[in-house]
Amino acid sequence: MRLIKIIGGWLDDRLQVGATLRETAEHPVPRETASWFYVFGSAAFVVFILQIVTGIMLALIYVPSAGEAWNSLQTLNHSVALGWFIRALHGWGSEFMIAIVLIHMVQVILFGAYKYPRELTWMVGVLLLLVTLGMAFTGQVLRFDQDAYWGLGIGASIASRVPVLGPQIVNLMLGGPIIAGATLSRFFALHVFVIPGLLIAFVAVHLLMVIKLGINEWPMPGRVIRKRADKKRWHTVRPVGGLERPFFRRFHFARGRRLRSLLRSFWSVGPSGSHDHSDGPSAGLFLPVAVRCAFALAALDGDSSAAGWPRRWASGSFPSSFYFRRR
Amino acid sequence: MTLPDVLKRRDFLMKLGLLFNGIVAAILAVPIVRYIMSPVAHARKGQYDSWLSLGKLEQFPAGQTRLAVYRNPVVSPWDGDTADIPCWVRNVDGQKFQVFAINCAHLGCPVRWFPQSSLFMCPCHGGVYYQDGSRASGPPERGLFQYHHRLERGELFIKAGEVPTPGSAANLISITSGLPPCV
Repeated sequence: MRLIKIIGGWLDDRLQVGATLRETAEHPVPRETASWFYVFGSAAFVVFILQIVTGIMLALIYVPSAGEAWNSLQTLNHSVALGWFIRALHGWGSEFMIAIVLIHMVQVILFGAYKYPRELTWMVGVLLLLVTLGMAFTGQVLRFDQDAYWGLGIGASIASRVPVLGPQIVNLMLGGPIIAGATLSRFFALHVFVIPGLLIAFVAVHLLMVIKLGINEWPMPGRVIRKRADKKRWHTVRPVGGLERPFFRRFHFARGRRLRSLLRSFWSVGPSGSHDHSDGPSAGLFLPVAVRCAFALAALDGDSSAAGWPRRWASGSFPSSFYFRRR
Repeated sequence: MTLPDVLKRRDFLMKLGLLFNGIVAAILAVPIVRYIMSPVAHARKGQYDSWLSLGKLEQFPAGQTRLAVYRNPVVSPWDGDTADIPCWVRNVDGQKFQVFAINCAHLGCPVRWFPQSSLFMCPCHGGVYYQDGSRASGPPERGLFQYHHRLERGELFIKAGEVPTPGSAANLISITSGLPPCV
């Protein structure tokens, strides 16, 4: 532990990022924003990370060649340990990413979070949606099965209808006269290098603005956002009142005990747990885990005081929920 | 020398540096752009289309429409099955032929010939064509794409090599018979 501290200190003396990271992680946010409604942006980011990891896994086996792509996927499915699972994670992950990005967008619309001063965050978000859809299209091309082939034909037919430049765009898109090896190669390059590069860059800008501008307030009936008035209000409100509860501490320390107890319940039936197979399924262990999961979800949600009792139940300890309510 | 003069000199050198960087970027852009645009340049020079044989005429009985497959003239060794392109050959009366692209004129899906109803139908969005390739119904705004063909030494030759799309079908025959063109 001390060694880690020494190494960490040595690194941070030179990197000089520790204070910034700590400040970012612990910056105050409005009380109401500790709600599940604000989770979709992070959720989309988590799925994106999953896509990067599983995508790299798939690239270890996949061959981006029109003649071999399908065969290499057969190898992946049947001859590589859990290859089918990693592939399914990537495929379903892509569906989830689009779904979550759309839900995130709906939440931002409903909460008016696109208004001043976050208009640019919204615009970059729209770019992120387009880039995400681009990832989905180029990704399904890589299977190079019938779906991919005729999907490309549809793409080419649509592109060809661009006035004047249509035929040139089709040649550029297909990399030649027909849908063939060159087409797959360029869609591979797009899916693996070009679009992920854009995606990472846009996500960086998007997140930077979220941190710089702060999370949007919970919308209130009658509170209309007017740019001129809010410009002043925004600058005065930001550093002081109405903004409390360190976000990071709330999630990682106030809930630490609750999550620890939850993990402990999991661990007792997990891979290294002492699950006894001799007398059938152990309802005695399963039930407390299920109940704790259900209440933990309720406890993590919102801030209504009526939900105080399940919190205490879920955490199994009074003081942490007391801390919770005191603020 | 006074301070503003120094700043002016720095300003000048900065602009000079930008100019040099700009020149290098422009020189580098030439090969990069030409490399990327190479498929377009090939198409403009007409290097994609060529005359190729669909085989002996006996394969195509009079009054019938049959599927034929040709190897695309421009291929790379790793194209696999995608280098084989299907098309529909209609032998009208033993003398006259029509060769249709497999691609629907709407969004390029493969149309299928139904001899029972003498119609080409597309599985994607319901495009339908008569036996002469003209549009019958559905979303396509025109008839099927038709290849130029000629009969030589008892073989059927077509001029092909590029996937036909609504915007790039200028080098193909356009079918005007049948219904008036829809808007």
